[in-house]
Amino acid sequence: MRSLRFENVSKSFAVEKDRRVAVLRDVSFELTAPGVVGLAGRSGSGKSTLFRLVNRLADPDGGRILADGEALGGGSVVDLRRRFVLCPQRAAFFPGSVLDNVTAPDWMTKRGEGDVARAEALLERVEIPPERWTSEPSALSVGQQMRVQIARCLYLSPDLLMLDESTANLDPHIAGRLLDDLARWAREDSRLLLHATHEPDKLRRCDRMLVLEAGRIVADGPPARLLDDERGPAAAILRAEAD
Amino acid sequence: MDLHAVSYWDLIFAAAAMALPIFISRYARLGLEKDLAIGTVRLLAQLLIVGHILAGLFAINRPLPVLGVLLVMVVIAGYNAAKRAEQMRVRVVVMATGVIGVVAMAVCAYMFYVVIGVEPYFNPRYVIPLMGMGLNGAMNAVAVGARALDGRLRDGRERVEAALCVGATGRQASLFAVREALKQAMVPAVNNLMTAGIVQMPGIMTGQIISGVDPLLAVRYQVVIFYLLTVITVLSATTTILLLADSYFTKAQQFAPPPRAIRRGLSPR
Repeated sequence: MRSLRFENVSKSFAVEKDRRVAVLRDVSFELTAPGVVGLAGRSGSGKSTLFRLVNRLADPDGGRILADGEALGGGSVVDLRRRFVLCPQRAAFFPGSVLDNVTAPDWMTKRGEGDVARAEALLERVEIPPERWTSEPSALSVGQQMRVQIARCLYLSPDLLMLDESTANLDPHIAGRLLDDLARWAREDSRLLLHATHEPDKLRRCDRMLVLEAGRIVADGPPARLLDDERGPAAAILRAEAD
Repeated sequence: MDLHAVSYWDLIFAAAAMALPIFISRYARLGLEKDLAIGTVRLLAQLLIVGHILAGLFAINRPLPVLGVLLVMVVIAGYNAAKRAEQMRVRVVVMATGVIGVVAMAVCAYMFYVVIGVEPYFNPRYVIPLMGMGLNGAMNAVAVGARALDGRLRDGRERVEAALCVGATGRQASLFAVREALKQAMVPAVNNLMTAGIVQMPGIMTGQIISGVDPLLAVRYQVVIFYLLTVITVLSATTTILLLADSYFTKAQQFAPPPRAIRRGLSPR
């Protein structure tokens, strides 16, 4: 994938019978691969919804989302979700071991030797010790569980990986190493990494940063410039989240 | 063997014993006195009406009235299954009625014509009570299965969406809930098979023995009924759960559980 483009995308949800709440309003931007893009915003600003629209867990009410110039929704949604992978905010697992959970995306096919080796390499990459590979995921710490979930997403070798606050519960050193590794993966293999977070040090690792406020993009640019602008929206939002 | 006929006076004496649970409910402030009192009278009235209908059907001895009664029973079973599953949606009522009707009729047909050899084919003495038991089994299985599936899917939303996120179809993502709901719907039938005759004496067998039938013949009928009920339970639960699970996903494989059903009346979806 070379580009992902949002054109005046809106999304609202029904909260009562006759009342809807707008979560995204006229959102427009274009991202090009390779790249590492940070998405900052307060809780409830629309970050998760934006991700859910990209991998079609939900559809927009208005506007279009285009990947390489073609609107999403033309082809198979299953294929799309295997290319544009969302790593949800909270880890969820399927029956089986840690290793089984990494190879879980092979729903329809039988797992081969090569698949196991690939899954093991990914578990090493996200720093899960080998003695835990055969454990139930519930036996792992919250941070380890999230890393297993990231490994499951990487197992698909996606064109676009969306991390929805996925590094929030990780040890800062591990999170730093993992994000550097993922940034290399994105830049070297011409992929896109989208990372929703409100932690400044994680945002500074990105090439570009978008700031969402009440469903609108209020800032877009290099993280250093946006974060260092004390009177800008990014700094205000991050200060509010830190409080 | 002398069969002691239970008279209407005997029924009044039996009903008098129901004063005891009503008294206990009142004494313990359970608030069930009204339901117990209504239930006592309603049971008597309902069964007397059914008795008269059956006596009428036996006297007429024609296939169409039997079919008419069966259809009414199927619709009532479908409606009640959806109601007990707390899913009063048009789609669920229609689906439950269809599943219960088709499954109960198919399995009962096998038992009537292949196993028992009912003659004539519509003989209401066999067809109505046995279909009634079959429909009751199917109704329970559909209600338990639909309710369990709904709970599992709503509680397991994160798990469902985590599967969808990495390319699972709705059917694959809901497999865990389907399995758990099926298990929950089937366990009572399996437990009945295990404990019949040891822990509990099955009702129809007890009734037949009291009515003077040879215990071994009563047992053979009871075995047929247990197999009938188990097959009906498993088939109707499986069909319902599989059909319903798909309705929790859009064509774009998005998880979209129907809105929670309104307790009274039907909701459109």
